[in-house]
Amino acid sequence: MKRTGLLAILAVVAVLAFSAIGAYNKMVVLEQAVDGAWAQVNTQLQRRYDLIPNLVNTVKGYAAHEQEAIQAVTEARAAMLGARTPAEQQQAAASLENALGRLLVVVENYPQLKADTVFVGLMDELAGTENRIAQHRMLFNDEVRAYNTYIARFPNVIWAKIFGHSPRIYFEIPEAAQVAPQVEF
Amino acid sequence: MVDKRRSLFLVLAWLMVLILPSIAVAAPDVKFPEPVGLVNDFAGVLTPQEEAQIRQVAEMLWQSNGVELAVVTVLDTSPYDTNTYAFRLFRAWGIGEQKKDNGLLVLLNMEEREIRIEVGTGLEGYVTDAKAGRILDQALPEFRANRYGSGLYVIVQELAQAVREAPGEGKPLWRAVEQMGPVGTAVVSYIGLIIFAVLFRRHDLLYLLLRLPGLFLSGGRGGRGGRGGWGGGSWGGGGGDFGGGRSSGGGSSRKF
Repeated sequence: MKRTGLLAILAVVAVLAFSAIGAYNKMVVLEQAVDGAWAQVNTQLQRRYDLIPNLVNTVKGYAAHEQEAIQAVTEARAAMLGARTPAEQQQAAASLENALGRLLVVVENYPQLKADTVFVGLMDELAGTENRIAQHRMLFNDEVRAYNTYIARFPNVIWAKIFGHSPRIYFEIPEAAQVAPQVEF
Repeated sequence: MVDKRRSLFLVLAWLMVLILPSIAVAAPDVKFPEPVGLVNDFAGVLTPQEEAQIRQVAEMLWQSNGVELAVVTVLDTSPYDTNTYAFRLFRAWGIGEQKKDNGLLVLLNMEEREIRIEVGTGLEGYVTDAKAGRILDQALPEFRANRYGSGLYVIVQELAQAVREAPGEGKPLWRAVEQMGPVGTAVVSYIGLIIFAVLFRRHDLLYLLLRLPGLFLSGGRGGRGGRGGWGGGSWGGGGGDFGGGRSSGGGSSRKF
């Protein structure tokens, strides 16, 4: 009689321990995947950051008096340096996307610029970079979704609370930027 | 007593149910068609001759330095746009070798009338986005005139030209042997074993090796005309597959 009770308690403890260990490890793995995916996004954001000086210089060569649009891009680019956390980085990336979008609209008025082979090449690079960012943003969001779903489920939600795993935020596509740096020919 | 046992069992069962959901959530995956080779004309816009021409360029490239150049035509790319479809298909098929990511994908989307070059991460130095765009611009007149075959041929040739200098497999000898087919492989290993036997003074092995051709010739009479050995060497010979390469979304797209 007594032994059965002891056995039951032991079994419950063992099962709970296994559940906790399993959930904890899984959370770590999923969180690593989220971080890894974010690193990829960041690499591509950096690529865009590096590309902009060339682009701005080429635009200046044809449309020097479009100071406002050029200035906005340069400033937004500089703001990326100050961004530290993923949330800040996403914010900075969004405003840079906006500024770039406006610059590309301005560029529409300069047929000579649009025919410049260097500019066409840079536009391809920019389009490629935007695509890289978009694709890795989707992969990142997939990883965030997998992680958030996992820690929101029962009983994982209990372990997540105990081990201090909180949901991650998605890298949302800002409304204005969704239409912005679409490079068309 | 029996009651206690039952309640113990129930508690355990309930705990098991709690643990089971730990199994990962499967993301909703889109099924991509299986690759049929380096040229996959799913939209059916190529004549057999055009397909053969394109395949020849792709296979020669693969033989020379292991770059996997896949050409895919599709009627539509739902639920994705062309870029996302290319990016995901590239990963799903694993075009190019793993780690080296030396694959290239040319995707023709008939519905959007859009053509994309997706570049494996390892080849981005050879085919920059700007370069990919220039190649597409060259081929664009062909696509506008609905000559898809010759448009793709232009692209494939230009791409092959661009990555010709890409570092090869790292095992050119083994690749050469592979291309010889079974007879070539046997001959090369035979010679290799003889050299081994001589070098390490394994006379027993050497004796056996020298006897071997005689045994084959006397015993193998009449069994001729099996599989022709030489030649071959086509990509995916023996139901081979792509190597597990990835892209990072590099490349370029054009509508026509």
